[in-house]
Amino acid sequence: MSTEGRKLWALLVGILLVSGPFFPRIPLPVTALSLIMTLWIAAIILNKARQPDKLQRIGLLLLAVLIMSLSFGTLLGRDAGTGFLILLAFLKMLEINGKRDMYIVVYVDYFLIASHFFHAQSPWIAVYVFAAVIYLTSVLILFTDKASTLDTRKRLTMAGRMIFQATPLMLILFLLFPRIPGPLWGLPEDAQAAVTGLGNDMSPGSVSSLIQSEEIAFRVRFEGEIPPHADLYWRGPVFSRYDGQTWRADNTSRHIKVNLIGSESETDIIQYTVTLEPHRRNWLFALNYPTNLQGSGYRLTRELQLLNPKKINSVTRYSVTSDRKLSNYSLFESERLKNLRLPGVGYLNEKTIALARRWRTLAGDDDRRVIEEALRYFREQPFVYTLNPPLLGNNAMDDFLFETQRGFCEHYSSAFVYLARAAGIPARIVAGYQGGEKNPVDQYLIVRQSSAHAWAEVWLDDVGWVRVDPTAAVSPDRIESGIQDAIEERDQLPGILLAGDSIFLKARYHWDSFSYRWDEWVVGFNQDRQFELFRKLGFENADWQGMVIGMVILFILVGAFVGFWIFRQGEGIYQDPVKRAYDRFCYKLAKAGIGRNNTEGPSEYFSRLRGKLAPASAQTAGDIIDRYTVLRYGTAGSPAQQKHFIKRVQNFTARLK
Amino acid sequence: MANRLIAPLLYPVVLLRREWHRLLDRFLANRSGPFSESIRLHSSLVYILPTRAGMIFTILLLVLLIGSINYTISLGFMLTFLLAGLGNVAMLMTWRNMAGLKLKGMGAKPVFAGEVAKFAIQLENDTNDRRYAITLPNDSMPDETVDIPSGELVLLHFNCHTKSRGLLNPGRIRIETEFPVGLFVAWTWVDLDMRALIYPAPSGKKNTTVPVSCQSGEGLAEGSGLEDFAGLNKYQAGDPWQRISWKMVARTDELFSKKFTGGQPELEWIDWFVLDEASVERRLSIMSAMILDAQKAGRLYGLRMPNIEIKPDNGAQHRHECLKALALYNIEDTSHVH
Repeated sequence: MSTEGRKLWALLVGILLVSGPFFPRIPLPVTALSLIMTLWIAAIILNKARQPDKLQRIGLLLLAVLIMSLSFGTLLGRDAGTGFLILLAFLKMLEINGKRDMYIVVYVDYFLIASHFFHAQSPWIAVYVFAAVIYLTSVLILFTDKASTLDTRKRLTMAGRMIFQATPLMLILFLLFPRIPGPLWGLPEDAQAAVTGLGNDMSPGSVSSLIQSEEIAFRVRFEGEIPPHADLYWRGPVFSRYDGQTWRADNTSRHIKVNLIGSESETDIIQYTVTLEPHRRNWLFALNYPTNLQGSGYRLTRELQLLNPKKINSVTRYSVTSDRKLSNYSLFESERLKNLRLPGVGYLNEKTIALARRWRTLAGDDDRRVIEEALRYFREQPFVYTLNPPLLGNNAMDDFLFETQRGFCEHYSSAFVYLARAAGIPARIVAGYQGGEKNPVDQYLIVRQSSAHAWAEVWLDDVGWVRVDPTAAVSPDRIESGIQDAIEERDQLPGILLAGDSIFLKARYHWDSFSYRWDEWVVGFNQDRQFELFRKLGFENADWQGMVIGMVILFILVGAFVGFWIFRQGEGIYQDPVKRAYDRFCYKLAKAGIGRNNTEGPSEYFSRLRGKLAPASAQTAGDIIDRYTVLRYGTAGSPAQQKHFIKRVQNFTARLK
Repeated sequence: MANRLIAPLLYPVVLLRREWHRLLDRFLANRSGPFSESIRLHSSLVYILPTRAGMIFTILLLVLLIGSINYTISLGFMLTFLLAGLGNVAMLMTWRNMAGLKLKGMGAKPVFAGEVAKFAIQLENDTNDRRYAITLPNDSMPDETVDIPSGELVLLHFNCHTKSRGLLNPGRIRIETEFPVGLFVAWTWVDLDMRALIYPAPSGKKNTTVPVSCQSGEGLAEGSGLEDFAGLNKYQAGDPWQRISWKMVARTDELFSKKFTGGQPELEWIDWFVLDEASVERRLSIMSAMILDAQKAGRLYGLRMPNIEIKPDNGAQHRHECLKALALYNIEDTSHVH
């Protein structure tokens, strides 16, 4: 095959390598057009087709733009941009002309590799990056290997070695390059991939849809024992406004600064560090009640929510101290009203209100009695905990409580809050995660999306906000041991929630432990982590100036080391001084007309020399050759002997001149 | 119009360029030779700069870096820094691919003025590593690129157009490599002290009255003639090739010259002094054409110049001697002629 053809094949494979993983994700027409262009390019390389002329190229470009705008509605943004980049890479391949275009295609490939990170940054992706970069480097080697002496395997080996040598430099930059916290400018709306997770509001189905997901929401490492499963209520968004269909958060009191004081008794304090996967929301998850948190910028609201000023777009790590009891919390009147409000006409759920009023009459002033009654109602009526609840009408509570009686935690919590409010008790819904999976390998807690949960909080004047979980009344197993024992339709649960083979399980825990560290130290590596690392290494007062200086120094040192490494492949430029002196000796003799043949060993050479030199010179030359044979092929001489030899050669060659 | 407006603005640029070339020349003058013997490319003789692809690569790295910061993508940093590391490794490897080679000028075969002189350079790799894709850029022919395995000698060629007779100095020669990834180009710029001998271009008046001054008996063996075939002699250097017995070559694989006796061998003097031509160069050209003519016809010819006289003969070596005499007429520095 021609050199040009080999280059084009290599480039085509490169594009497919970096764009292939996108194909299942991008709209079908984009994939289809890419594949058609792939065939066309292959046909051009095989000389079965010609490169498109100018008109065809314009046509293709217009087609690409058309497909992009029909599929995405835009050419900008993350997904559309990636798709467009893929099409442009193929288009460039179609009209490739010369070395410059080939380099452009490789550079576009590098960008496409980077585009993968929008979707995932797992260890596998890192492996993929290395593989792809090695491949593309081998393509670059093909471009410069003008004498065409390297086959694919040799090129890949060479590229692999280069990447191996580049890795120490990468590590230095990765660890020491100042990580300026982004973003530098506003991100487009779809800058980050859609993720599963709790939303800004809650309606029937919004929590149960998460149960299907095995994705990890966050991982927690506790100082000390992991609290019992039933205590692990990870509070997320708080919903206090209800319109008859959907529960929403109320943001009116977000600006108020809150400082909680806990009981501070040793037994009530839980300390832990959460590594939160990006969920594109502001809230952080914590156990009740977060009294102290490390890290800058976090805020606690009146609703006891932890908020981050920016959306969580990258792996975030924060340490919290929670106290089981609070000593200073009161309810504003506006908050009391807010948490008593029921939806307007049309969504009033009169039967539910009547039920609540009946309990209130029974219980008198005793709020606790009302709550008891409600929970007993859930327990005693034939409620079913299910992932497939029937649809509810406008009077959702009436339908649920008196007719269908089948639902998931969002049904139970909202019905309970509705009942409580109707009975005059301030109540609200808290969404978050319940429980978690202990990793026995590394003693931390894995909280998956499947642990998503919603429960209620009611205000009791003597103690404050109290958590009530009506789901526990219906299905105590859900809270005690987790979702897999609680749900009836087990086959609808994802495989991961079903207990598996123990070896498989163990391997999974090991892998998760590795992923956790990966998230903490690679994906979540930021300025805070950088400084933490330096504190651990003993640099207490690390600042970024020091880091930059350290980076430059280390880079130069390691660069020198790598350079030395590269130069020493083989024996390097300068042979040992003895050999050099001998070469000079031979060179001088060659000039005198008695050159050594390349195939001649020292002794053969000498026998030829003897006839052609003056006897005295021949004697010296013979000595030199003998010494050389000993020094070079016998035991390596001492430095003094070597020096003597060199001196002797110098004398001899000087006389020969 | 636009040019006239812009030209004065560009004048400082032109000045700067000129100054830059002057400085570069001075810088190179001390270090780049001429080297008449084999020269090893030490670190001070190997230069390296990013190629255009390398500069675009740098821009790519910056864009990737800014993107990684903006989107807080840790693996983006990883990719950026890996590529940066790759660039560094590539720089070292490119430089390494050139450094330590040994170069030697091998000169060029003599040509006539107006023809192309083809110079050869010997590259020797006495290190333990193969050298990849070493290129000698050429103006008038495709660039020649070779690999040099460890312990081997390789020749690279380049062409020079010639205009006038004499000795042609190709000056500094650039040998370069972009291996392994084309982001950097390492090159050397050395004067290997080569000269090409340029014969005067044979011209015009070939068959006009050739002013031959014939004198018999000079430089010729007794009894030899040109007319009657008298047997074969073993070929001796200097025998005109027209007299080689090709039949015998086919039969014996050895060269024999036909021997003739009788008649007077055609003998001529190509004589500077009898030529009626004012211009020196024209005169030399005509003489050059006459030499070719005589050589081709198998005549015995001699050359008479103001400074040299070459006895009549015929043969490749003789032809070269004569043409060389023409080429070097009035040229002072002939130290490079072998």
